[in-house]
Formats: sequence, C-alpha cells, structure tokens
Amino acid sequence: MQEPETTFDLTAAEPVATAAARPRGRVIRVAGVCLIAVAVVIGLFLVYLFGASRIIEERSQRMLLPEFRSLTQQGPATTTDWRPAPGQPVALLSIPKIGLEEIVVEGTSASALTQGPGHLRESPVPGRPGNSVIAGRRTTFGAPFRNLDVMRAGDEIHVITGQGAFTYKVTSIGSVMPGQVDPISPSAKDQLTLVTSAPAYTARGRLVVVAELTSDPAPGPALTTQVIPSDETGLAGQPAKAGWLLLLIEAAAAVALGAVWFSRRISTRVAVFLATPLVLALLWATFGITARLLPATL
Amino acid sequence: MVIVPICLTLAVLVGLPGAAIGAGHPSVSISPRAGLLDFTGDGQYVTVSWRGFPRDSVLYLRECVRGATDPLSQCAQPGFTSTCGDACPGIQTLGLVDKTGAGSAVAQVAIGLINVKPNLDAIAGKTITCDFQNACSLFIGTTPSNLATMTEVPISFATPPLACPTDGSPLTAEGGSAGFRVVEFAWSVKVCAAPLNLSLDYTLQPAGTALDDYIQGGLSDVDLAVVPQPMDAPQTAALSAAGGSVGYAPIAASGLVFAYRVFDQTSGHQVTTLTLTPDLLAKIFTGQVTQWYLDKEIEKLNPTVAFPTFIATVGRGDANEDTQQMTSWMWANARKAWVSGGRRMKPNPFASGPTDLLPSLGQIDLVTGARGEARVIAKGDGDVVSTSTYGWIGYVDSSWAASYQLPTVRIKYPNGKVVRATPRTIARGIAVMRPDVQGLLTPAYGRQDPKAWPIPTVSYAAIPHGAERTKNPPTPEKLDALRSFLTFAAGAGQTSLPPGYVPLPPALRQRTKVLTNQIMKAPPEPTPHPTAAPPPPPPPVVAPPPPVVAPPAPPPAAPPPPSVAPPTSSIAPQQVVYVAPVAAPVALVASPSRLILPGLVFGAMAALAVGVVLLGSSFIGGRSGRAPKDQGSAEGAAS
Repeated sequence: MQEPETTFDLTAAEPVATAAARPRGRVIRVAGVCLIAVAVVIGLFLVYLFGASRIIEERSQRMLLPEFRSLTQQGPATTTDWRPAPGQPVALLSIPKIGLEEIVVEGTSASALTQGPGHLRESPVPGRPGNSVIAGRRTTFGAPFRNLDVMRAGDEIHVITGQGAFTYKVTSIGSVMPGQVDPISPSAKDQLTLVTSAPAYTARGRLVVVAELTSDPAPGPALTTQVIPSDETGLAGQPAKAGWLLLLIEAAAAVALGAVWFSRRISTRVAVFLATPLVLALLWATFGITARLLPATL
Repeated sequence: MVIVPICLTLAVLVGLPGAAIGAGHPSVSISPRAGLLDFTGDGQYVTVSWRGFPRDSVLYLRECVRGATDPLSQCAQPGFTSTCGDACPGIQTLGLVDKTGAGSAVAQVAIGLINVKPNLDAIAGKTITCDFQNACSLFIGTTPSNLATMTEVPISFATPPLACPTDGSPLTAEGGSAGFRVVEFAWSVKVCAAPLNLSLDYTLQPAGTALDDYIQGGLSDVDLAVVPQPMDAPQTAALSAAGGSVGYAPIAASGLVFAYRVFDQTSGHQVTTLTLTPDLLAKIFTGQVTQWYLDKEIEKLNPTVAFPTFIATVGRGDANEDTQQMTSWMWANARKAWVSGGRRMKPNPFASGPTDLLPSLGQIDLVTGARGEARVIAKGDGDVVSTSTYGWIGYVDSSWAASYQLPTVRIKYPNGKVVRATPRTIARGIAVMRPDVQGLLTPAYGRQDPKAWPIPTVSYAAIPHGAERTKNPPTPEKLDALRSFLTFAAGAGQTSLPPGYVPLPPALRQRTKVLTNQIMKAPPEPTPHPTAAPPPPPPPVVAPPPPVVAPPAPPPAAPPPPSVAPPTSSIAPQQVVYVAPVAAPVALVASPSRLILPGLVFGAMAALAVGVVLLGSSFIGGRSGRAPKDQGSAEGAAS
C-alpha cells in the first residue's frame, strides 16, 4: 500500500534513477556475496589442505599395510630383480628420532605422496646400491616429514623392504635451493636421501637429509639413468589434473542450476536438503584435485 | 598466531625471576668453550670473563670432570703434572676481583691426562682425562677447595689428529705457520674420515725449507708444501734440473699481525687496545725503543693505559716467511726508522731491505720457530716472566694470535688513519693483493688504508702441476689423495676454518679447482729442456684489481732469472676448461606450481576484502538513498 504512494510522490527524474539503481545495487550485492563465498571456499580449502587431508593419508597407510605384508613376506618383493609398480608399497620407513613409521609408496607425484612418503621411481629401491631417494610431504596430507629438520648427523633411519632390514646413519642435513646440485641426482654411494620442501609452505627448494647405509647393500637390477618427469621431482604439482577442475566446475554449475529450479518449482528446503551433500562432495573432489596441482612435497 | 603472545608471556614469566637471580650473582663466560684443542703442547688458551664476584677476592680456576663434586679425585690438582706439563697448574689464579666485580683473564686448559706422574704414568684414584671423549668443566670461584661454591662452565674438546685412523692414504705436507693451524688441526681431522680417508700430516717448517723439501720430492717424502711465497731462483733452477713441476693452489687466507701481551698496572687486566705507529713498530723491532713506560709517543697514542716498564720484543731467529713479510711491511712504511736501527754499525745490517732473517745482535729476543715465538709472547721466557715489569710483543700469523688469545696491535698511519686486524680488514687486504710475476698474490704493503689489513697472507699449496717428470714421480694414489685434499680445501674446508682465518675469495677457490684438474689433465711435455719454453704469459689476474694508489711494490723476494722460464708459467686459469664430473648431476629447478598456494591465499584475502566493501557499500547506499553515487565509488575502489 505504501509503495505506490512513495513512487507517485517522486519527481519525474527520480523514478528513472531508482529503477536503474535497484537492479544495479542488487548486482553489486550479489557480486559481493559471491566474492565472499569464493574467499570462504578458499578458506575451506586451506582447512582441507593443512587439516582434513591427513584423513586421506591415514586411510591410504592403513590400506597399504596388508598389501606391503603380502608383497614382502613371500611375494615378488623378496626377489632381487623386483621393480615396484607405481602406487605399490615399497618399504617400511621408520625414524625413531621423529617418531615416524610409514609405508613408502612407489612414485613421487603429488597423487602418490597423498598416500605417504614416496620413492623416486628412477632411484634404486632402499637397501640396494646407489642413491635411493624418498620424498615426503612437510605440511599437508599427514605431513610425514614435518619434523625432518630436527634430524642430525648420526641419527638412525631404519628401512624394511622385501630384501631385509637396513639401517642408515644420517651424514648430513641441509637445504638446497634452485641452481644448486639437486640431491636426488644419482650417486655412487650407497645412501638414502630424504627430501621434502624448504622453506615449509613455499617449497622453493628442498630440505635434504642424507644417510649412509651401514651394511652391505642388497643386490638389485641395474638402473638405466632416465630423465625424471617434471611432475615427479617432488617440487612440482600435476598440471595434467587441471582438466578435471573444469569438469567439476561444470558439475557444480549443473547442481546450482538444478537447485535453483527445484527451489522455484517445488521447495527451497528440499532443494537445500538435496543439494548440500552434492555440493560437499563436489567441494571435496575439487579440493583433492587442487591439492594435486600444488608442489608434491608441500 | 595465538602461540606468539603465549610464548612471550611465558618468556617474561620465566625470564624475570631468572634476571632477578642473575643480578649480583657470579657469572662466568669462557671463550672458546667448544672445540678446545692442544695446539702446541701447552693446552688450550681460553679467555675467562667474569661478573658479579665479591670485590677484592682472589678468583681461581680448576679443571674437573663434568659435574664434579669432589676436588680431590675429580679435579686437576697441584703437585701432579699433566700432558700440558707445568704450563697448566692444578689450581690457576685468575686474579683479584676489582670494584666492579667484573674482569677477564687468559687461562690454560689441559687436554689429555691430568694428575699423572712426571713420566705421564697414571695414578690410581687421581688421574682424570679431559679430551674429546671425556667431557670436562671449568670451575671458577673464590674457594678452590669447595666445588659447590664455584661456578661450573662445561667445555668440550675438538677431535685431535691423533684420533684419526692411521691406515688412510698418506699425504705429507710441510709448510709455514699460516697454514699450520687449519691443515694440521682442523682439516686433517675432517679428511681422515670417510669418504676421503686421507692420512694428512703437516710439519711446521719455514716456507723456504718446505719448498726445498718439496723439490727433493720422493727423497724427503713431502707431497705438498704450504707457503705464502713462490720458489726463489735457485729453487726454481733446482726443480727444473730435477725435472719437477710446481703449481700454486691457494688453500687458506689469514694475515700477519703484531700480537702483544701487556697488563695494565693499575687495573691488573690485560690490555686489549694498543695503538702504535709504523715508526714505533720499526723502532721496537730494531731495539731502538725498549720501554713502554715513559715513552712519550707510546703514551700519547695510548693515554689510558698504565704500562709496565720494559718491552719484551720477540722475533724469529730462523729464516722464515713471517719475518720476510714483516720486514717488507717495515720497508714500505717505516724505512727510515728501520734503517736507523743499525746506524752505528758498519755495514748497517738493517739497510739491506726486506729479509727473511733478522740480524742477530741481541737487540730483541730471537726465538726459533713460529711455535716458539708465539709461546714466548703468551708465556714469557726464562727470567722474563713478570707481567709487572714486562709487556711482550711479536709478530705471528692471525691464526696463532687467535689460538693463544693474544690481542693484536692497531696501526696508526702518519695520515691519522687506524687499521685493526679483523676478519673484515684481512679479507679486504686479500682483495687488494696484486699478483707477482709467477701469479702469486703479494700484499700491497705500502697501502695505508684503514679498511684493509696491510699484511694479509694467502697460503698456497705447492703441488705437482701438469705431468710430473721427476725420476720417481708420485704414484696415481698419491695424486688422487692430493686431488681430493685440494678439492676439500677449496670447497668444504673453507666452511670449517678455525678463528684467525678468513674464507678464500671465490676467484682463489676457482683457481685451486682449475689447478686440481690440471694435475691430471695436462699432457706430458715432450721437451726435456724447459729453458726453451716460450716466455711466461702475463700474470693472471686472480683477484679483481682495485684501484691501488701507487704501491711502492717492494722488489719480489727473488725474481726468477729470465734465462730459466719456470714451468709454473703455464698456469693461466683462463686457458683451462673446467671439466665437470662424468655423471653430471642435475641442478635443482624451482617449479611454478609453488606459486599456486600463495596465489590462492592472496586471492581469498582480496576476494574477502572486495566482497565486504561491495556488500557494505550497497547496504549503506540502499539506506541513504544515494545508491548510484556510492556504488560508483565502490566500483572505483574495487577496480
């Protein structure tokens, strides 16, 4: 009842202005809400990355353990010419100093490292001759190598593979920045090189712990030197996964449109009820993909 | 974020009572405290500084096992000897505490067996061991019989060369005082471990003798000589005759300093700031100035010091490179005062220019060997021991001054500028050194620069260069050992330098790398007569040549005669291509994916900020009825 009166009272010029202002104000409001929503989503992603992602790593570790047992007790891992397939458990790594005990998976891509520490495919399996490299995450996905920086020369690192138990003694620890020799390069020494990101959170270079084998190495097949793909160096993500993001965004748009249609036609409550799990699942998947674009040892 | 205030609060809570207890409570600091080393058989010299002790009490120091409670069985005791000999008494008197309650003194820490018979046999229930395997402490206090009243300061010891395995590949070095401390006591312990496994031994010899022994090669069993100077003409000729070759690889950098031990007669403390002019130093070392006390010039330069009476001047009695450097500097800076030291003698023994052998006239105390000279400055000699009568001064390498905890003289030039020997000035002094005809760097002795120490020393390893053509050339294993030592010296060795050394500049390290490669790479030269070789190329510029203000450039110690072209002449770093190891390691490359996370975080913050501004402005605009205008401004701000 009030509205027509007020509009009627206004001068000729003003209704035009208000008519233009109202939709414009609304656009701005929607834009503001959207931007805040984006910020909240990114905030949720950070929570996922530095907190919730450990669930994924713990679950992977639990699933890897029986597979590791069957591989190493009488399986192919006991033979001298065994070469692990990507994603297979390779070794059990334990560092008493930092209370670490994890299954090492084959591969150092961002995906592989979500499951735990990863073994560089181009390097020998731990316990065999040469420079064996294990990369691990420092701040995300359970952060197995979070406390690697407290390691000191003389600390012991134990590795169990299908070929037996091996003890390594730390000889040096330090960080390596771009331009310096990459510690994952092949070496004539029988050593274990643990790498993670340095500085933590930015992953410009590596934190490196080098440990020497205290016993004779176990026999293994000769490794042909090959180039390490850029997404398996531990410092890069997997840009190939970015394609999935597009699909997920399309799916999110579909869910949003469906929810709007549903709330208009049937009921807003039911729409929210139905859309919420879908949105959460999409968010979870999006976060997982985004995390794989980040440096693998982050 | 929350952690920070909590930590701060905790720190304050813990720190306040700690500070309250600390005030007026005795506290002691010892320098150095870790890596103690028996450098010369006199134990390790340490500086003990204290605070908060009762005035006029006498302060004592005892060396005991870590956490000792019973001084009779767990501490060094008077009446017994130790591996340090009589130099480290069982109870050392540090001095009287003055009215401030603070002070410092130099003490000696015995390393090895303590409380033994004179023949070093152990005594059951008495003998204790303080070494790299057995932790010890120093106890400082006013009642040496009651350890509970004394302040305990834990000390730790460096691994001595004796702890090295003896089965490494042997490498015998001989050389001057400047390389001794680092090679024999710091590096030998590092390279004797895996993976290098070198059994490195360094005998202290004057540089000339070391080079002679190097020329002898297999006969004297010297694999490398560590010297600050090249061979002189007769040595070069002898080397050519023997068919040997030499290259000079820089391995260590230090400086020659004037070290002193003078006690202030009023406070009883050791003087740590002493300024002298080049003329005064020349007169002191030629025996023209013999008294600290009542010397107008010295007192004018050091008005606050109450000097003892006599100057106990210590020099070297043997021919050596330190004396050569000292006299070269005197010749460039105080020639008139130096020459006048022998004006009543015919012929004047000081008029012949820089020399490696001081005339023996009884004018100053001449001691044989760098070890002897440093020891006399730090401890006195014979009857000359009373610190209330004498104050000692001598010239030693900076690494020795640091090991003996000796302060060094500040030089005041005639232009009024003062230069101190610090790591920074020594490094600068090395940067302004100029190459001589053989490519070795010599100090700009005459440069009167307050930022550059005038007598820096680069210690070169004289090594076989190119193909060795002596009658019994070094074995391949020996050359391997030499190569791995030099690689270590120019690489990791430069990060573990004892006090008194400065790291080698990159250009010099590169030169050592190049020479290390040449040991292996240079093909054997077919011409047996090096005299037929082409003239030497211009000296390679190793350090960046800064604008040097006309250095008087003292004549080189011994310019090689033009008829004998030294085989070293082919060392020109520019001509050599550095060959990387066969299995080339890859360099680390940073990935752009590291930028995603910071991008997301900043994006979120920006989105939040802009979103809040947009929402806020639209609400304000909606209420005030002036929406269009406000929105426009908000958009402007957002864009």
